[in-house]
Amino acid sequence: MTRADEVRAAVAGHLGIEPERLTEEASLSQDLGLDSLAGIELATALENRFSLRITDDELAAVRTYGDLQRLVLRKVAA
Amino acid sequence: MAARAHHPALLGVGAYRPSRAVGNDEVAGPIRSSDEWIVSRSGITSRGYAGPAETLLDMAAAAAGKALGEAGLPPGEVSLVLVTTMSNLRQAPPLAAELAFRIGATDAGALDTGAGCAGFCYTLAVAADAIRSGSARHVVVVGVERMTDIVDPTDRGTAFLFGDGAGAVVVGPAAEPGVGPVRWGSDGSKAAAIAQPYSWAAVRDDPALPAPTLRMAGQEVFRWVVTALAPIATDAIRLAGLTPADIDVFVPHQANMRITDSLVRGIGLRADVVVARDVATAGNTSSASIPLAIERLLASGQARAGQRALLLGFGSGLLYAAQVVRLP
Repeated sequence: MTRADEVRAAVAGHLGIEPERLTEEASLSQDLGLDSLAGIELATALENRFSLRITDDELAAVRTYGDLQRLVLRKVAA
Repeated sequence: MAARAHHPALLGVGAYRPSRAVGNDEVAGPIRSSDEWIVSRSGITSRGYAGPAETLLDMAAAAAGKALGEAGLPPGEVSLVLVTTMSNLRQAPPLAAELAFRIGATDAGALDTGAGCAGFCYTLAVAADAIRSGSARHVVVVGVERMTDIVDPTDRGTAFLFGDGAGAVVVGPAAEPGVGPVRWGSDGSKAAAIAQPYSWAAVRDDPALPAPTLRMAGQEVFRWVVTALAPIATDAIRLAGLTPADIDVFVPHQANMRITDSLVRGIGLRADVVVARDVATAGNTSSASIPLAIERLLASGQARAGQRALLLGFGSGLLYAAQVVRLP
């Protein structure tokens, strides 16, 4: 399992959806139905899962699942 | 010479809910929102708004009187009256003194406390310690708010959340501990997250300024609660000599249903734990919310006397406090 797969599995598990729905272009708000509070909960879950810290500004810049995965992978590598 | 110390326990609870229930359609107009948006963001469908005749003193006295009745305690045996509120617009006289006189606790000590939405848990801890030390034998603790006096009905971040009301408990001596040690704390670096943007002094110096109303950085507060407070609640459970599996009832400050749901997941409580959801019809009544929620759980039969309840208060400051109690 690659690190990207781990991130996808963690997000899918948190949201209770199939990993296949987490495409690069999937909009967190439009396609996945996350509002701002749900986005914060997801970010918090990822912070705990991968021992990293996502700032409010970084989270605000995330639009798609691809944005989120890149952010987490960059943080994990750092 | 030493006063005799006792274990503190909750002996009775009482509530006062305003006579006027206000639905989402009424509060949605001034913030250009909708019932659907308010429910999805907060789980709130209605809240009570106090009228001009429902003063802080009147609501506090009604709740305290019911709590004394539930406890079966004559008011003359109350040795301390503690009132916590963040919406008293008058500094003097202390509200607690008027309340003590009103309920017939004419010789009791009386003190106003302020810890925002964490006020009830903070003040209950002070009451419990007063009983443990022997400084007081029976204490009335009241959380009372007219949040409509300090909330701007046109502010999209707060207008739909808050309501008015009063909740009270009687705390007194018991053979077994009924109020566990408190886990309290603060994070003043986030003082601006829930705050009036300026003081009344600014209004005094510039009469053109409107009265200062509450402003809240809702997403920042939400994030703080869901990340910082589960460990605090776990600490309170441990201080009581228990584990999360021992908790029967969870009564968090009724801020927002989304916050409550997130806390339930974060603390790792039993699947069958009873969770207070009074926010749905009471709104966020700040320091009154926990005793109001306890009263609803007991009156509705969802919870019963003797069950172990985890209380968790949090809010402006930012402040937090948690303890485990036996329901009265």
